[in-house]
Amino acid sequence: MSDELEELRKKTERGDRNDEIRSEADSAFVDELVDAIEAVDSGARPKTVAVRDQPVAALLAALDEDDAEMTAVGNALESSLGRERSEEFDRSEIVRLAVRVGLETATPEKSEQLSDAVGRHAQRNL
Amino acid sequence: MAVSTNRAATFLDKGGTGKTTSAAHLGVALAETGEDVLLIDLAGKQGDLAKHFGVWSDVQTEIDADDDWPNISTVFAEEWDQIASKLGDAAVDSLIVETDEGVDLIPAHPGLDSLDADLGNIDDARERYSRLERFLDEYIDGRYDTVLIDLPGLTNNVTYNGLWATRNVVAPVEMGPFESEQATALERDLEKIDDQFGVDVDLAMILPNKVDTRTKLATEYLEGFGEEYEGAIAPEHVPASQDIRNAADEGRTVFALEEPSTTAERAREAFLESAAKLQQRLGESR
Repeated sequence: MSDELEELRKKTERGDRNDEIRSEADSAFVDELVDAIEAVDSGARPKTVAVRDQPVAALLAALDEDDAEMTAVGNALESSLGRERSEEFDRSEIVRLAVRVGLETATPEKSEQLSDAVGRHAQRNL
Repeated sequence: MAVSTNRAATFLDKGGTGKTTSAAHLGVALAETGEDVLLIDLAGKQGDLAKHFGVWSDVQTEIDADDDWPNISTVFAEEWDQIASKLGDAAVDSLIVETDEGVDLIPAHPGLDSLDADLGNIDDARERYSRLERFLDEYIDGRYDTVLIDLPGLTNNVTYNGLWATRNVVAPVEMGPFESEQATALERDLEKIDDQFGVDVDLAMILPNKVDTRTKLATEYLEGFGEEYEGAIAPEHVPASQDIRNAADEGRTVFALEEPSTTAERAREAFLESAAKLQQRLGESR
């Protein structure tokens, strides 16, 4: 499809009322996400995340003592996200990947909105 | 309006009176007499007319696969001419679905749901109500002998587009007091459209539907409608028939039944006679 036709399609494509309400809400949330990224970037909001979960803390501690297990878990998470395999992991990397796998599995639309927001924030700060 | 294609819309400002069933059966009845017929479903995103011909699942598959553009809601867009010019014949061809019963169909689309509100944003009333007419004039006229449009069971901007474009209403009515009032209200609305815009929309046919002549009340209403709408009443009433509903559930009209019951046979006859009369009236009104 030519660019001009694609543009016409975007302009005239319409869903039902529910789609429109949903897309308005989605767009509003991406705006909130861009603001939050800005706040984190500027230091107004913290850049780190701390969670209190004893079993998970224990798992991470055990993985930290066993490189082979740590790499297996890390590679499994990467595979789930369709990423290339790394050779070394630390606890932070495992947690980052696990959170993303969780979001991608449970609410893929939130992952997509986060990607959109990161992109829009980057464009805004070119 | 100089058109070479007969046009009519099934409409009454009330749900469940048999608009979709009437559009489907009158369309097939006309096709049985050799007419090229196009049905257009503006009645709502649920796609009942396409379901009536068993083709909705294909339409739904295209919608799910995001392969549903352009569609009927697109022809109302300001950019339609540009789209049609870019796509050529494919623009209109891609809207049309062939059915097994000799009629072509432009099915409904979920976009009809939000179309009404967007049409409401067009300040100029003539522009707001004439988008469909322009589409039919420029892209459909001449391709078919008759276009029948199934309209929503309520008066909104999409409905007005359908009335404006066809200038002829077929109103299926059940035999009851509410329908009698609705038919009167419809006549008033058509007069208002004429007063406000100089657009003359005729009540081409009152089609008594789901009539159970075993009840005295139904017979009385049938006679009452006949007297009140002498020039518009259909030549035959459509009998109440479970076969019509069953056939619709199976994705076909009673014309496609291999072993029709007596009431289904009578329904066929009623639609055939009414279609012939409608054809005559539409031809006279052009």
